[in-house]
Amino acid sequence: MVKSFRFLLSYSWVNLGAVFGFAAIVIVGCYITGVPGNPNVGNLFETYYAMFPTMILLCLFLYAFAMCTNNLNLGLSMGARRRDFFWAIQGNMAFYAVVCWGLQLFMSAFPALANWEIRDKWALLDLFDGRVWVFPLVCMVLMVLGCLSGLVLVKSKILGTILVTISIFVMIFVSAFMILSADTGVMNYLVETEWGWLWTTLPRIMIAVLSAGAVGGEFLIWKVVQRYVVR
Amino acid sequence: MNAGILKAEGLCKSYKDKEVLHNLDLTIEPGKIYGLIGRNGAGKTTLLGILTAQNTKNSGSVTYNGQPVWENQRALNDICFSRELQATLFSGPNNLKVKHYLKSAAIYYPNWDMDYALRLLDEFKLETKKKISQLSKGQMSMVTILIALASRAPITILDEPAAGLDVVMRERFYQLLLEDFAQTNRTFIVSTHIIEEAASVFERVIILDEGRILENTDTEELIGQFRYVSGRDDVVDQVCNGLQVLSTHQMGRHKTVAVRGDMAKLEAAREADVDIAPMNLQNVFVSLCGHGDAQ
Repeated sequence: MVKSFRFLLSYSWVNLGAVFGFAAIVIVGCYITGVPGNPNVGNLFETYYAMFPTMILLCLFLYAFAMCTNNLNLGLSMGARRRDFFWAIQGNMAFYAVVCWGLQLFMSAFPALANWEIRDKWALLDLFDGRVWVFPLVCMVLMVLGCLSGLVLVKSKILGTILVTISIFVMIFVSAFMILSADTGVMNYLVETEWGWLWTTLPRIMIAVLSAGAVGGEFLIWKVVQRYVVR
Repeated sequence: MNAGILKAEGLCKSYKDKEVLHNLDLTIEPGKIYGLIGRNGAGKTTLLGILTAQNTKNSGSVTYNGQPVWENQRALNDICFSRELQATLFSGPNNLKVKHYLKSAAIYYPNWDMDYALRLLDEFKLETKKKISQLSKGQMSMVTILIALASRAPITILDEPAAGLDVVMRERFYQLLLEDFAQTNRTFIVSTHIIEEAASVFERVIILDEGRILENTDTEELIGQFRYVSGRDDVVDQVCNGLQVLSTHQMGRHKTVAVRGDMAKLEAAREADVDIAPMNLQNVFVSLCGHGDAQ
């Protein structure tokens, strides 16, 4: 398992470097364009800063996709054991989740640390502030989905494309929903309706659904990796 | 180098309804160079994939030194299956770079020889930063060869290593293979369609046809069993009576047949008015697997 973990880690450093580089560009971009402390400045850097958690999730989805297509194929073609590779994937996903969690916490804390005033206009940066462990959970779920999408694509181009498309649409829909609900304050309105209980318990429902999805997804990944045919 | 015995027994494999390997038995003995030849779709890559646990099987067993190969790290450490690389992977371009293959090989193969890999890289003039999809067919084969040779694995398998290589590079490959073999005495299995060129390199030849092993024997011994007999058709028929006739070619009254077996009888037939000529490995292969297509 150590070999497969090392093998995947060699890609993880590069991938995480890209995420950190992106974070640096966003911070520097905000600074240079005068975003901090100026509520009238609205630009691309400010938008990316406010959306940073979703950018991380999108990157992790793509990294997990590559991990279960190109990397899996290459690793098994060089004599990796399947069960070792499966556990190496788990270790690598946990590594990604922890590092990205740290980065997300840093990005949400940075304005206060640097004495910046940046509008968290969609309330995404501090979204996971109350339950800090939710972000790594979401990271894991997205990576499981990314890995599964890759494995399905390898088996069936049509099914894989459908799954990837649905996943991307869900990510866009959820992001858009969060942005719109933050911009319009619709959640405040919804909690006062007769369906208010649903909206207030939605986070717990989502966590249960995500956890169940992650476990189910892992089971499927295990099954598919065991039967994987190297190309 | 201490290679073990790689053995397949009762292998069956099918893709959906199509049976690719039929109850196949094969023993790979240590310290030999095997040539695996077969027509397109004969099941060569599937067989090699199953032998190296990179493909699944429906039934049968694959063992290395008596232990199953599947999920057995000790066995997998001793085996390198260097595949024919593809410009496209999973319906997109193969964006992995040469350096990714080298790095991965260095991690996974316990006997990986980085100095040798770098020497070959230099000799083949391969750029490590190039993506596989940007390489020519010949360069992809060079990567396949480089990984196989530098892996120093006791059992090294090459799938179509000569595909796309020019004649000079093919000669160089056979030379490198023989040099390595002389040095390490490891087991090589080389799957190829360029039969005649490689024939002199193969100590043993495995002929796979429609998922069945037709031959797994010493190359010289196999070639020695076959002859072309040509002459007037009635004389040829008389000479070949009782011999296994594999193919027949007739032009007017002149007939040429490919026969197998009973060398004593064939030697005696030299008295008759027929020409008896030896066959090369490619002719033997065509006679055995041509199924009339080549005539």
